[in-house]
Amino acid sequence: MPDSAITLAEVNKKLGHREVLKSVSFAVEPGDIFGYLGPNGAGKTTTIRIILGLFQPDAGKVSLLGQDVTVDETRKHVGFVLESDGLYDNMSGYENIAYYAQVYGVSKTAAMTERVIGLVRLTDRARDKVSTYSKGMRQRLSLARAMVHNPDILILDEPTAGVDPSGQIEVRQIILDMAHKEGKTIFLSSHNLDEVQRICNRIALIDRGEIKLYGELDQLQRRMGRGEVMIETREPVSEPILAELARMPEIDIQSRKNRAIVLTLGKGSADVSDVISFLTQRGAKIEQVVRRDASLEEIYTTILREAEQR
Amino acid sequence: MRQAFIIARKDIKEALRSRSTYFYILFMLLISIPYLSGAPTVLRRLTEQGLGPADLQAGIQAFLNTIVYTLPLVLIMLFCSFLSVYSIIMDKAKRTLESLLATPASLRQVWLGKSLAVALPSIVVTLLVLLIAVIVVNQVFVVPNLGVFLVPSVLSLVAALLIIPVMTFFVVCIVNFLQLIMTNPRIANFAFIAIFLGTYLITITELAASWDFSLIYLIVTILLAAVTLVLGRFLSKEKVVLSSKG
Repeated sequence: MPDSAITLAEVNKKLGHREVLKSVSFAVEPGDIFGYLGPNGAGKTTTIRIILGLFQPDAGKVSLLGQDVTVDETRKHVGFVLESDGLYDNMSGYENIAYYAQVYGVSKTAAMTERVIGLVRLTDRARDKVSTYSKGMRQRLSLARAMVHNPDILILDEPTAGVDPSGQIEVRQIILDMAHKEGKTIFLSSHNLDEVQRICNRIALIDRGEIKLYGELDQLQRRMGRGEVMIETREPVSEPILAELARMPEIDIQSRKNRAIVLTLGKGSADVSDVISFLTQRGAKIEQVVRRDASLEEIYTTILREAEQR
Repeated sequence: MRQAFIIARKDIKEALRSRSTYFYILFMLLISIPYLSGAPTVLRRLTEQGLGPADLQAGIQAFLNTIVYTLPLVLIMLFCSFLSVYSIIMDKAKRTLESLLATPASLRQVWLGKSLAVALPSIVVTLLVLLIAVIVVNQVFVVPNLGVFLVPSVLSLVAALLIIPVMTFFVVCIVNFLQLIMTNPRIANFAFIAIFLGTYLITITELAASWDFSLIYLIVTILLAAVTLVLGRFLSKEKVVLSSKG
């Protein structure tokens, strides 16, 4: 069985007297676009710093492709975009990338530098000083730097933060290209829930140093969803049948308009197939069933609210 | 080692692109003038004592040797404190250091690279200024009065060309260590002044009065090397990253 791209097992970290990470465990599989979510101060940046070997965990294990992250050579497998872009303003975009190519020991520095600058569509501005770049261009250049040594894993900390909407679209497209065309595993820390929902297949939610939620995004959406379902029948369902339906456990009828019933299914035993068979047994002809899973925003707020109440 | 040189080369390149580097070199030339201006005074005093040509030459030679012993120390510390701004201080202020530390380059390689980036240009520029100073003293004062071109003593040359550069490297390593772990790395620059003054004070103590400058420098260099080795054990990426905040 191949190793996970990133594995954190029972990682604890204290900074001063503050426990920043408490038994954090998750795995990012090769090919994943993994979304790492959490409010400010939740421990996202500390997690990233541990993955990059900048911080040592007090307890627990961290590995990249099965290798110990504290070994310098292991970091050859990782490219990164940190919160601060880390670019040298007085150097051109090309020089910035070529410098990192050399630090990583890339053999064909010039060719690789040109290639990644092309990937992020900055070829025409490559010779300009980075101080003249817009925020979006800087983020794209940071992505190029992350790619210059052709790593297997990309760690991206808020790559679209502060970027204007069109810049965000460009950065997002580049991330998708890196994942799908270049086959990279992406670890994306972001506050942008819409962005994470659009591009990530697996997520973890951290709050106050603890992982509150972790798993495949669509499964979580289904599991966490209020299970809103719209059922459209050929003829309007009669009131007595509706009243009977409403008495079924964990079913809550939200609205009814002509032939459409909108209801929510609880997290327990209720299932949409039960509702369909209930209605068909009572002579209703089902024309359409539209299931709306919970949005990431709903999941996020629910989990954080629950944590707050505890 | 390779990564350390790549880091050093980049930092040197960046410093050379700055106009202020060249202003500083000019400043170093200017502050050498008061040093050299002692030559006519020394020459006059020796002449007033009615010394013969051989004693006069020995007196001027001693003056020249003193310049070669002490001028590089002053210049090198000044230039190091200037260049160090382009290295770690700037990297911490602009948060570029964290990115560098997340590469496969080890912290020691980064430390070494940053130290070389400060020490190497400082040594080269200082030695060039010293060469100019020796030529000027000879051409303006020595040759017209004695008819000979005086070469500094072997020991003073060993100190200037070998011991002081090595000592400089270790001083820079110590200052860079402090800059790496301090939240306000600019304060670390005072270590340049402290170490320079410390070395200078040793040279004027009674104990060291009869010693050759090169011996004092050698002892200081060995001490600094030992301190550098010990400090290396206390360096961690975590300390560096946490001190870079804000």
